[in-house]
Amino acid sequence: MSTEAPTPATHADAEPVRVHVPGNLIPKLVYLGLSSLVALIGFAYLWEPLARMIHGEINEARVSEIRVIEPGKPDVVYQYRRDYPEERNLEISFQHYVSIEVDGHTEPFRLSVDSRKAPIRFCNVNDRVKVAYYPRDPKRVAFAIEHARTWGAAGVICGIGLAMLATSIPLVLTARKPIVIDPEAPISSASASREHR
Amino acid sequence: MLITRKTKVPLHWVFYAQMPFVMSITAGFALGTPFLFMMKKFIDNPAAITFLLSIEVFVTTLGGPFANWLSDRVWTRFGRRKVFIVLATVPQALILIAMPFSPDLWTLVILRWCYGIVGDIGSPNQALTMEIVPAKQRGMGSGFFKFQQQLVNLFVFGLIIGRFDDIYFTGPFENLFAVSGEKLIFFACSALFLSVAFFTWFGIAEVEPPHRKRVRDEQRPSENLVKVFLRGFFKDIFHKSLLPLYLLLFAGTFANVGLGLLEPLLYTEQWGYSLQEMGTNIAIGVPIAIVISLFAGWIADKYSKMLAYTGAVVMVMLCRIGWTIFVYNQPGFRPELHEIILFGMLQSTFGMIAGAVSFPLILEYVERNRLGTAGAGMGVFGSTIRNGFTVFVGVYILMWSIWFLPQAGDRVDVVFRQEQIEPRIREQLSNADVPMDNLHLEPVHRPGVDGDSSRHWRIRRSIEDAGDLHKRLKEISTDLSKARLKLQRPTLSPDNKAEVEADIASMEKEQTSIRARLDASAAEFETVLRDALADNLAPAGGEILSAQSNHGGTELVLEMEFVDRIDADITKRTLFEALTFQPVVKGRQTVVSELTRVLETVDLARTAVPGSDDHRARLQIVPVGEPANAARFVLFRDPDFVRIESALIAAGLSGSDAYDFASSLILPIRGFSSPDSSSYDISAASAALDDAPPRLGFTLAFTGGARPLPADALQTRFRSLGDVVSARVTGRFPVFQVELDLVPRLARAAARTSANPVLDARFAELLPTAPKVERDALVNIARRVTEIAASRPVFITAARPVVSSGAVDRQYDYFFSMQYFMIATDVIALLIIAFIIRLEKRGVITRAGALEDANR
Repeated sequence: MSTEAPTPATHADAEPVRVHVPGNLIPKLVYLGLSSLVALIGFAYLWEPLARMIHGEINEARVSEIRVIEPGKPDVVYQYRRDYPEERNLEISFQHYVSIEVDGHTEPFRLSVDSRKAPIRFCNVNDRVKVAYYPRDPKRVAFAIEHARTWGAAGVICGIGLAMLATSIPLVLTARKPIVIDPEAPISSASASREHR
Repeated sequence: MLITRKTKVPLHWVFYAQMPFVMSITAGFALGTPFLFMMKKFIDNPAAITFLLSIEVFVTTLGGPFANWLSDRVWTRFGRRKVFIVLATVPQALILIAMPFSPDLWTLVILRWCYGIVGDIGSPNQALTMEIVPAKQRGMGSGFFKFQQQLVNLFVFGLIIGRFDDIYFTGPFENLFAVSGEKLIFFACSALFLSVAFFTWFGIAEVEPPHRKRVRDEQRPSENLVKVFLRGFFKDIFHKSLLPLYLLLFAGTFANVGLGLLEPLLYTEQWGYSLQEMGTNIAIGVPIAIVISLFAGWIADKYSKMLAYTGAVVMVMLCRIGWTIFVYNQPGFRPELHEIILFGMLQSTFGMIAGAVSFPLILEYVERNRLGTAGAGMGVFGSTIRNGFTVFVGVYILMWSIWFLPQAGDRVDVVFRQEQIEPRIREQLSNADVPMDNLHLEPVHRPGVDGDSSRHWRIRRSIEDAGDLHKRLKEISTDLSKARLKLQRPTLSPDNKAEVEADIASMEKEQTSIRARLDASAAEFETVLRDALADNLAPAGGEILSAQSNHGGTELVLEMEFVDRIDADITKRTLFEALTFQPVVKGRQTVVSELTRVLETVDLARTAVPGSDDHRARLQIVPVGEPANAARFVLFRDPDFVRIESALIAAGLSGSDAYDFASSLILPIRGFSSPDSSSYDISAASAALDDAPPRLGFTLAFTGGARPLPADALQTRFRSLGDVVSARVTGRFPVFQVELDLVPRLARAAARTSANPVLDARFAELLPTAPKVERDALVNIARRVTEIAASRPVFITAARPVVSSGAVDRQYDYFFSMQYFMIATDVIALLIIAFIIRLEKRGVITRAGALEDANR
């Protein structure tokens, strides 16, 4: 609970010093907890490509196919390069696959981000992409480490988490630490009448 | 953590005081570009977009000012201004969560209006910030504000803005749902609003001002709050002491006119860049902007704010003039990304200085106890004048389009035998009695090339009601999405389901009918142009100059003619090289080198690259002719691929279907062995497409380095192919017998018709003795080469009479129209500043805010 408490004057004629003491420690701790949770979710997204960069393999891979997925219709697979007019139907999504050599043979790996309206601009068939992956990943997902979209979800959620932490940590640290309230300037009768006009 | 009414505060307080306001602005980013693209799901017209968005602002003109006015006059035990802020940000957060789920335009717009209305309640946020930071430190505060804003811009434009159409299927929720970028952005912004609410409520304590205004001091007997407000408000906000505030606001508004919400359309629709490229472009300028913002804040506190502001506005205007002239001189009026960055950085440097200085400058004229009223006045001003400009911009762009640009109608791209200029083409069309009034012609070149003459021309015909048809198509598309979503609801009763299905059928019928109408109009226009320009157009099939098929179709030689030069240099400097004016470091790129890279199709034989694990397709492309407008393609095809493809074509399948199926089959075979064509062998391929189901059989032998594998593994893999119903694989490694049952779509009767009779005839003429199987393969390859050559980054056009034809919507210009307008408003802004200086010199206006703090 915050209070504005006068502290004792040092001599009889001095105005008492007023202070404000920030309270509400419990809600601030709850906010800190929520901030940490958001940051953690962001980190979980971040760890996926990062772990593969650290523990997996990094190679340049060729985009081998683009699959156009429309609910209720068979998938259309394009294995050659072409331009795609912008799709108005937002239920249609585009999946991108790269060919990666694993143990001497080629496996298709799916890039970690799909798109709607059109395939990813620099991921058309025969484009080359630097990817990080686990060779024996049962899900066969590859992360294009030089593309902003690979880091997009992680970046957004981590960013929000960091902003929340940047505000929640100081709140907790400054709880119960008094702040001096400055005295007001004496006010003349002229300005007093101006204020009440 | 922070309190108000201090005479001097620590520097970190100045920094933290900006955060709630900056976080609110950041959260409001969702209502900028992301909201624009959300609206574009339902509507295209820029005037309609800006009008719909501005209605709410006009309706709530007095909401924000009322909140600001009231915040000067009330007091609760929690404070005054922060109560309003929290009451606004929590509902705003909830509305942002709801927005991505809007099923139609009106739901979205109404949510937007609600957001604006509750947002007005939170208007005192800036006043609260100014109460924490004393006047002498507001310059630094403004610098910190700009600094935080630029950090946010780096984050938003560098990372977030391009995410709208992404779909994330990995991550901690991968087994539950995929996260769309659209929803991610809105949910993240909602979380920010909730953080603002929390930080403001628990982190800021307001100290009661000793002589604050009270409502009861101004209230007459039995007069309610609203009447007091209306009576006192207009008297207060139009008080003569606030005259300099409004003059500066006018100057600022005129100096900051821009595309606003429509700016992303300049990048994406006019210049053809992606949202991510736009975001990266803006984000690259941010590090410099961060430094400038802090420097500008220091300048604002150290020197004359009026001088700094005026100088900055002049420089911005000069930058705009220079940029307009520069873009006018670029091919296709399209600047490169690094040019946009360089000019943008220059302009934004001066814009940042103006921005950092303007708000402290305004506040120098306003006493602390009038900050709320000043905020109210700024709110009214923003609602009416600034919002009026926003609406006007949309209407202005629409009118510019109607006056100067092609309207909705038909568009046909044609190629002539020789280079043509516009007057010659118009003369030919006029001689053929083609109506000329509503025709628009423009030459088409590769990106980076310009000129008034070309072989490739785009001819547009405007049609009066075509715009309405396009608009209706968009509406139907939206309604169809809504209906299909509704159909997936598990709670839908059978009766309702039947009703929704009937609605869908009816809408699909109308959609087909409108498309047929538009297509018929475009086809008719194409016929008119073919007849009028017949002798001058490139001959049908003439893009194929010569062809050879050797070794049973495994070595194909194709010579094709293009409109553009094959040996053109298309080297792209990296962004770093461009920004630092460095020469290109890596190898140069030509059309041929890029075409070789992108023409690697599945059917080509592959050999290992010595010293690496990579395999390259066997393909040669050689420029032909002088100038080199033709190319010889020598394609060494995988013989095993050719056997499968030939078996299917011989059984009656079309070339493209045979190619597609053979592609899907050969990839897993390569997956089991290696991409090297010599590591596997297919023989005895035969197809029976008359049977039910259609069948394909062949012998598959692995040679070389393939790992031993059981027949089951092959069977499972073949069974997973989309066009295979069932698979039977017998035998033992390394030789297997494969029998595949195919989908009915591939049955002979269903897959008969040739897609390209012109190319069929041309190859029959060039190779009269070649088997039909090989000619069909060549037709398919020629079609594929044409498509690939036309795509990014090669962009070359095969020389055929009609390249494309179809219906198109109205064209808009977002650049030149606005540049001319912005330069004019810059001049007006400077005239207003000159007027303010004159009034101050004559003593008509004074800097009351600066004097008040100087006397404490």
